[in-house]
Amino acid sequence: MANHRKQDINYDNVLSVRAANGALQRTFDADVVQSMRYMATELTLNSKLPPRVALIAALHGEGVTHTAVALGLTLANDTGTKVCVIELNWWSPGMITLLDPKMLTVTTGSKKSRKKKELPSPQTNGMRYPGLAKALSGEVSIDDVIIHSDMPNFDLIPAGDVPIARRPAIARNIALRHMIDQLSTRYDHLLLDIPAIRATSDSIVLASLSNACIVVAHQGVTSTTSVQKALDDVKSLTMLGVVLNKVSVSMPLWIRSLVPQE
Amino acid sequence: MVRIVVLRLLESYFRHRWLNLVPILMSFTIGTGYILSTPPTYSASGRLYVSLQNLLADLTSSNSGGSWYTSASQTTVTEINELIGTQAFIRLVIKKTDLEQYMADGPAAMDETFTYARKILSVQSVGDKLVEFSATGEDPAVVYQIVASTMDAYVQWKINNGYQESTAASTFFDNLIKPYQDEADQAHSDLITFLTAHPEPVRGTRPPEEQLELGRLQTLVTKAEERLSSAKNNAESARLSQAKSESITRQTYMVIDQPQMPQDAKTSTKKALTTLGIFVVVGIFLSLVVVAGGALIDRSLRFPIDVRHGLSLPVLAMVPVAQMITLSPTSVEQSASVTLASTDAL
Repeated sequence: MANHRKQDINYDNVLSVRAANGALQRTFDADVVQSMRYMATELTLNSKLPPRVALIAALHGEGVTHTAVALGLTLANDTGTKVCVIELNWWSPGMITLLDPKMLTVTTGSKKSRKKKELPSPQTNGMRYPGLAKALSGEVSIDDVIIHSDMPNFDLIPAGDVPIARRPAIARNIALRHMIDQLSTRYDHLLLDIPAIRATSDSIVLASLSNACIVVAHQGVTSTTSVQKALDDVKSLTMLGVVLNKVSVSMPLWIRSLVPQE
Repeated sequence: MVRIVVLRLLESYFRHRWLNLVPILMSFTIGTGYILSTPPTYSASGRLYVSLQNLLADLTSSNSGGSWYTSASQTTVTEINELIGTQAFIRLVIKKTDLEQYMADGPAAMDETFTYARKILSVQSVGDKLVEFSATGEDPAVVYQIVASTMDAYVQWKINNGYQESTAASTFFDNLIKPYQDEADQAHSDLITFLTAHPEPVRGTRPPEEQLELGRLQTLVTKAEERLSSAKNNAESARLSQAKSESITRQTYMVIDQPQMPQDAKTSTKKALTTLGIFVVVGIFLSLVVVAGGALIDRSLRFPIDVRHGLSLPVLAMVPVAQMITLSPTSVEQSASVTLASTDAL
């Protein structure tokens, strides 16, 4: 599953998602898609994949949004089921950034080029993509916040912008639960992008909106203790398993194969 | 658990593969530098033959308390090593070497010189009857002198030990000869003076008083000459005994191989390789410490077995570091531009 970074990109197995008339676009490379396909296959074949799955992490920056979008896209593409990825991470929203090619160019560019280019402000993005927060506040309808992709069975809902003081209330708002229930009737699978468990207790409440959780951990960075503490916080919830993200193993494969891992 | 440890150790090594080799390379470099910077050493050696017959008494006495066998050479080596440990003997050795110049630099320099001499000198038995003296140092002249001087000093010490009594007797009788000679001369002088003062009468015999005095003086002369003669004989005997003792000692401790002044520095490839090997082994040990330390400190989730063992959960996927692929807006199908970057932190 885990492979080293390859310079040769296999374009046959890449998966792309486009939305908002191409303003949002993301292509996942073959290795990532392969990993997600493996996971989706295993979960669906064993009938372990419930309608609502929360993707949680112990700390920030583990790659929950990336995993959620990639898993949702793969699932929608391979199974034909209706999938929606809902970002509930108002503490560190990243869905638009992940999908916006301009943001990626800025993120990956050099320091000089970053200075020259103008960053799209959150307000600008907020106006273009209102997000779930607006729908919860009643400013727009739920349909207005759904970003439809070029795939008919794959949609995205960004978190939007919520002031810090209002975030705990929104997380515990009954309207959010109703909205999730409402969305469950429209989609076969809802993938909830939850903030870091160790960062805020709101994430526990948000994770409880799901039927089961998948833990995302940055391989080689996140400590066992951190994840274990996070799991202790959500021990009442069903855990499907762990996704080791950003895997980079230095040991040659042939040596690794000599040590049994099962 | 063993598998986790093995995997973590291997990963710790391969994560910083070249960095982990730095201690080995550093040790190798330091070892090479150490070997190259070590000054050349010179060695000199000499051999002493120890005759068993003349040591029989010593050997018998030393073995009387036990059943083990001690060869003549071993006994000699023990004795020499004990002597080298003494200030007087080592001082005697140094006296005949170039190290003597440091003796005038004060007590500290003297002690240092003694220590140096003891350090470079070694004595060992070769077989039952041969004793090898060897010295290894940076100055060829000094090592040669130390060996020669030690051999001489030891033989001389044995000679001195043997004829100490003879020397005492010789000195005693030598000291007696002069007063005895003076007494004999005085007796002769008294006799001549008396005879000059009292010449033989033309007619008749000497009066009884003169005859009595003359007899007394002649007795004194005879006694003085006898004493002198006896003292001279005794002194001669003492000297003879002294000469015999030296001869016997020189036969017992015979210098078979005289030390030679070393011409070439002693270079041992084996020793150099051993030294280098020690440095490399230390470097390997340090590398292992670094690898083990890295594995010990790292508490992160690295392998599926870590997840199963630490969290008791299955691993659903291992997602590699994502590559950013930007497809051209006009063609979704295939790429127009490709950039590689890690973008999955979100």
